[in-house]
Amino acid sequence: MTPLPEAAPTRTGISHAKLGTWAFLASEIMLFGGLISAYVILRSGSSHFYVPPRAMMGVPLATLNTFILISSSVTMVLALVAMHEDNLAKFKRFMLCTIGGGFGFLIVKSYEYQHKWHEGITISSNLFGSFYYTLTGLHVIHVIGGIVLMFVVLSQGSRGMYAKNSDRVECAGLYWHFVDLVWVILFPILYLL
Amino acid sequence: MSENGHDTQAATRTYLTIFGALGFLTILTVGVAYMDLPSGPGVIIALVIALAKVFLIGSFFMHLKDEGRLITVSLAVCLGLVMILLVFVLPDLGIHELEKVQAEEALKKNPYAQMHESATAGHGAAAEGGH
Repeated sequence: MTPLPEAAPTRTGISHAKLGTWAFLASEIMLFGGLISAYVILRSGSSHFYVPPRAMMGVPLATLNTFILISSSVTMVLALVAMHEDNLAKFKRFMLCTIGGGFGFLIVKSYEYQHKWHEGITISSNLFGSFYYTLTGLHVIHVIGGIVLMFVVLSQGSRGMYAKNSDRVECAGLYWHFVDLVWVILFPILYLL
Repeated sequence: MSENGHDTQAATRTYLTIFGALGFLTILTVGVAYMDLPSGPGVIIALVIALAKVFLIGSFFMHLKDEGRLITVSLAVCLGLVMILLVFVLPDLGIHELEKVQAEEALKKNPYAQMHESATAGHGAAAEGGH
């Protein structure tokens, strides 16, 4: 596979790929920000907002998922370091760990959904249920998208495509850290407060 | 592509330190939640810890601390717009809450005032009905 050419100099000093990724992440902030704002306002303002007791929410599983996502963020950033070192074996190892973290998160989440369903917390049970499944469901879709992206980056990176230009690894990393960041906010507001 | 080995080692050490800090903050936020503090301080502590984690991820993993003004200012504008969604609606909730508290306090001070008001209103309505 032909390596990508070195990033061309730009007027802003930021590569087009990175600037585009940040613009995309800004739109994502508005998407999650709008939903989280609606959740906070309805929860503090509506007398019909019933919040299930913490025992029903499965805090230990959510904490485990937080650790999984934080760990996968670290392995992602270490994969970028490995690419900067031209160490492909290390890059592959860290990318596989990141993908593993994504799958781990999905497995725990699917178990958690099943548990909540049995507890009677469904998308149509009440306002909390609707927000819980909308916010975490949207986040899960982002995790699935991230896993697909990681596979593409792993495949291209392993074949030496990023030998001169590692922009794609960095942009994939930005997206993955954003997914982690959203979970860091969702965890306390949905499970702990 | 290859960078100075010393730089990458230092970067790796920094990332692992941040990982430790994020793990500690996660344990701390769960611990504080189980202390069952009153809702006000509990919410503030949980949000401060979440914001600290967001800051660490953004600054170090997303390298925002090394980015130029274009990206940081764009993000600040974006976060400002999200704050509009959240903060501009909250005063409405606060005013309703304040009115409720004031009405309760007034009732505690003079429990007969409400009876008097309702009696006056009833009398007025009867008078209007008579005409």
